[in-house]
Amino acid sequence: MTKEELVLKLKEIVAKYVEEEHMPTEFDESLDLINDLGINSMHIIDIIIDVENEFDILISDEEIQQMTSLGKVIEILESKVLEKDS
Amino acid sequence: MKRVVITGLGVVAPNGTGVHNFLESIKHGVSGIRRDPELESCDFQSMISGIPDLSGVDQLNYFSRIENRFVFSEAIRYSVIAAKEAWEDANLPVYADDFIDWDTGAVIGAGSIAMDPTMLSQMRLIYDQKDVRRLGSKVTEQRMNNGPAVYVSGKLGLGNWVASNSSACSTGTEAIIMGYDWIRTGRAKRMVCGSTEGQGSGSWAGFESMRILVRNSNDAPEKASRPMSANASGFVASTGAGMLILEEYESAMERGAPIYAEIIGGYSNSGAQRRGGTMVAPNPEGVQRCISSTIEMSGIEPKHIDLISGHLTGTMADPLEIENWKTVLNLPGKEFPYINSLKSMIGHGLGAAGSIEMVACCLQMKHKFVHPSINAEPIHPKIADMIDVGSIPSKEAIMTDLTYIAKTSFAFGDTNSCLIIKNLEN
Repeated sequence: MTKEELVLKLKEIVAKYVEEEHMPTEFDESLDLINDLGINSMHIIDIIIDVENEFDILISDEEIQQMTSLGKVIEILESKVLEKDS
Repeated sequence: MKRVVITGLGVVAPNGTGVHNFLESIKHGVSGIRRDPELESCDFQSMISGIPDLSGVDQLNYFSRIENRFVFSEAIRYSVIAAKEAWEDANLPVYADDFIDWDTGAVIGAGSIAMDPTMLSQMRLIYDQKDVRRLGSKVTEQRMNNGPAVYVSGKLGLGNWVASNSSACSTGTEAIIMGYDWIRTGRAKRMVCGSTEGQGSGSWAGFESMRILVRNSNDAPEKASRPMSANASGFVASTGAGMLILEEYESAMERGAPIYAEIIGGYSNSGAQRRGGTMVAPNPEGVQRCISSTIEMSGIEPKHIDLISGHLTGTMADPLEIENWKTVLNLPGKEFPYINSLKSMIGHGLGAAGSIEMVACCLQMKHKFVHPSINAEPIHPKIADMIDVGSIPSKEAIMTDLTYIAKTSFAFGDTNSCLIIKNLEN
């Protein structure tokens, strides 16, 4: 899986949890999941579940703590998915 | 003690979603009982139920796009839709996002909201697939019995007492009594009170197994629910929600709010599963004390009651219920009040029953009619022996002015609730 494919899939997952009024025109990597995208904090866990299912990985509690912005999520996923693929 | 009036109504019922549709149906004796493919697929012998039709409802008026995807609990959907209707009916404002109405609370009960098919399939993740990790964030809030109450309070911005009660088939009437007491004692200006029950083949299965659901009317669903009839053979399970805005009288007057009725008495008790009472049968003494205490609290005489909105489910408890009323009221046969059962049209909504029936009581009072109690004929001989059959509007609605209506609910576990409302226009 390329990084582009990964980012595309992640954006699809995240968009499922963003209300219309918070939907960005562009999914910039600096966007904060809760503060910018207005994602309900409980839905963060649903995003994690979807991500685990989609990429067949496991995400730890510590990693969840670090997943504040879209960019941080991509960073963590990239290392996990690449690690799995290698 | 403060006076408490009812200033708003909302309803999601098998024979009508929204007060307008519901009113038309109950005036004309329209049944909401239908064949139920899900029960059929589960091999129930009772393949009928009463489920509200939400096809005309735009869910996005009640839930955000994301919520709409994740709220699977019908009990929560029904409650939010009915509560919002009641709120608007009472001419209460839609508050700004950050506003909190500290003077308004909610008591919204349910028998058991966590037995719907979606919830049960989620549970299979745990028990069959051992995959708890994937349950997600939305199960907890839709499993807890106060899910409907907190969804409603969040939507409306209610900052007073927000609670839920659960007393099986007495839940709805009891929720109103709880809100009534809270306002009477000056602790809130308004309470959104009501109850709900979602699609519950999981909980209905227990009744099916006990053989108390109607099994002989699968091809004539509308004839299945027959309270007070000699041919009654059980109850028909149903779902829905009824919501009422209870309001302190002065507050309602200040706002110029519409007033449906004043609540003048409300009482709950238990027959303690003794002296004839069991888990499933009422102790007559408990029922009679509940009714007589409510009448006493109301300060009226038995002869003043114009209509009894019965619990009357279509089981062999119906004659006993009327016998209890007969004993308490102690009136000559001809003077027995009108008596009807909404369950004849919508089945038994269990926890939802009392509040939907109370909505019907308010509508009958306001629009001056007694709704028909369909399928009552032939009247059960024990009932015909006790009261004048003219008390039962078995054919069509009776147009008449109603000053006092009594509503009773009785439940598994031998618990009872009774409410009396008064027409302030009379």
